Amino acid sequence: MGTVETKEEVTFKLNGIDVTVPKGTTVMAAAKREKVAIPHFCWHPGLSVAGVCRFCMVKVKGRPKLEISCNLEATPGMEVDTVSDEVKDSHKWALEFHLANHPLDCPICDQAGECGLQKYYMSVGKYNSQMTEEKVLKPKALDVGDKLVLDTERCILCSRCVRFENEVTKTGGLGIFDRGDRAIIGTYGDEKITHNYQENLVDICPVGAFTSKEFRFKQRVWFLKEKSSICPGCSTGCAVSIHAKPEMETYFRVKPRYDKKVNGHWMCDKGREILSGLDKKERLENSYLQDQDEFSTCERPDMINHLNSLLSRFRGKKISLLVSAQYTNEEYERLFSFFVEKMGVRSIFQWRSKEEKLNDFDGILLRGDRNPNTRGLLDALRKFHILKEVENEFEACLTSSSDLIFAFSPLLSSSFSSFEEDLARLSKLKSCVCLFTTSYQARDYIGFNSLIPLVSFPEKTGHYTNYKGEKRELEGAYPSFIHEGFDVCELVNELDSNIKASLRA
Amino acid sequence: MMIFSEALKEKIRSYLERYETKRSAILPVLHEIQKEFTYIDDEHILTLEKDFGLNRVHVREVVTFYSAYLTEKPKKFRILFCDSVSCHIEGTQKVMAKIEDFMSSYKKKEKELPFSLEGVPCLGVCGGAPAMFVNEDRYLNVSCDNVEAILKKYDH
Repeated sequence: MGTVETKEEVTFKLNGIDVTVPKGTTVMAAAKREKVAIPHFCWHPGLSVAGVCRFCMVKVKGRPKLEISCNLEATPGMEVDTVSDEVKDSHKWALEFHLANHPLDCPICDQAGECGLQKYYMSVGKYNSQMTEEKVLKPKALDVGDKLVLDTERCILCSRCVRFENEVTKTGGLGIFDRGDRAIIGTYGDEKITHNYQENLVDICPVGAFTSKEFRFKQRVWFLKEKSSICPGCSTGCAVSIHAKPEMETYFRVKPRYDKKVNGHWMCDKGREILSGLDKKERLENSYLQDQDEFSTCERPDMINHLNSLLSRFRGKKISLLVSAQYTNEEYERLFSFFVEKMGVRSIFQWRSKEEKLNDFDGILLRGDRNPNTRGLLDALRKFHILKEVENEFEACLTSSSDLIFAFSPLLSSSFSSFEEDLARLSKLKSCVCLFTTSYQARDYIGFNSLIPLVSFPEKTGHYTNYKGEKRELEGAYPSFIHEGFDVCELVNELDSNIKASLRA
Repeated sequence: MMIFSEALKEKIRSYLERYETKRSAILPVLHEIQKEFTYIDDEHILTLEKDFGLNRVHVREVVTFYSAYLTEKPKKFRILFCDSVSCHIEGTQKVMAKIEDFMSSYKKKEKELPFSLEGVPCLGVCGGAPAMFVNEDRYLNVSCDNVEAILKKYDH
């Protein structure tokens, strides 16, 4: 790993400028911190040093040869040069050798646009190739995992994936077989990689050797926008960025963002499934009112009026809230300050998955609590003096003989295997049930009084509180392509102001 | 499933104990297996993983890296002929062509060929160039005239 935690510091010169770093820091890590770009393939801050790509050459004053900076510890008084002609020349020829057997199939390669070879050719290469030899042909489009495709011709043998398998997942599923220009990355025989962290291999592969089955050929990466968010897939709360093409109204992929405290450089494959159910065709797009066993669409103001009239109609009767732990702290705060403080609602039920195993943990990132904000929900409830434990109270809600239920459904049906079953049972209640949801499926259950479309997690900002009690910020929000969708806070604000107006009248 | 003999198992265990990590012992362990079975195949590698806890991928990386580890059952007699400089000057090419001729005569007679021929780097006896090994036996000053006689000794 790049840096070692100590208090001792060393000062050395990087391109003539004094740089002070903790003792044990490599020149590569120090340069990265100082935003000095040293080209590299095999070095990755989350993995051990291999020193196999020989690309990150630097010149140390007083030493006869160039050295690799990823395995060079900074020592006091060292004078490192990364920009001289000698160094630049070595980068250029290192790149030519990396490309010696590379098929140069960028036009059909999924990595194009975020490929190390392309990037470095433009920044440190730009040579005219002197290679006249035939390229070595190797196996292509190998199916090496549930989510992976491997092209061994594009591979530059940086061994990042091999080290990931050995060090992070400790499965040791990948190796470099054979030797010299015939060497290829692969699994043992026809075996497949099956663990829950496969797509990290696609992320760390600096070239197009590993590509994702899910994302392959879907979109060119330069068309994608990227916004920082938090993975709502479990209570760990990994920092992620969501890649989307807003003009196509489609979310394409999720990638991990570096977060030292929570997820480091990685995220799990379960977390990448959070985008399922976010397609426009799977979303509830309009407000629906039930009228004589049929749903009819209605406008946003009409829905607000309808909800307000329900609230006045059921004033003094038993009103319940059924909420899942997949909303943000801000939403809970707003929801409870209205319903608990203003409307005097005291019966609040948690809507959780039947199959959840709260204490499961896979030892890396994934936790059994598949809700991002269980802690936040409990904290908010406690703040409004409703004492709760983590438990599934769906059954209790069904038998609570409430007159009016406002049900805030889970936003990720992928982590809720019993979602449809729950909907069916909820819709058969005698009580008047208003369902706030993102899912199109809700339209199949005619018993609900009304269906209110919500925006989903990539479309909002706010905070989750993860299992450790850390606040996790959803920083960037895409404009929702569900134009009739409600933001929970806005919705409650409108209800609140309408109630005030009606009280004044 | 191919089962390792007790003696082999004992040897493997002693190698595994010798190093800090099991992975470090792969080279000598593979040598022992090749000595017993003449080659190393999937069954041996998987047995190593099952009985001795060596990762199969790590073992296979080593097996495929070194050409001295054989992954298929070799012919009864392996001819290793030096094709480095000294022997080359003394006529390796011609002698090897002669051996090929000799071997093709088996095909004509529809007899099973007991020999395999490989060119290998320097055997360290340039004074006796051209040099060759037939299994463990060393021959110096091999020439087109005497090579057939040598090989006939093995197959009578």
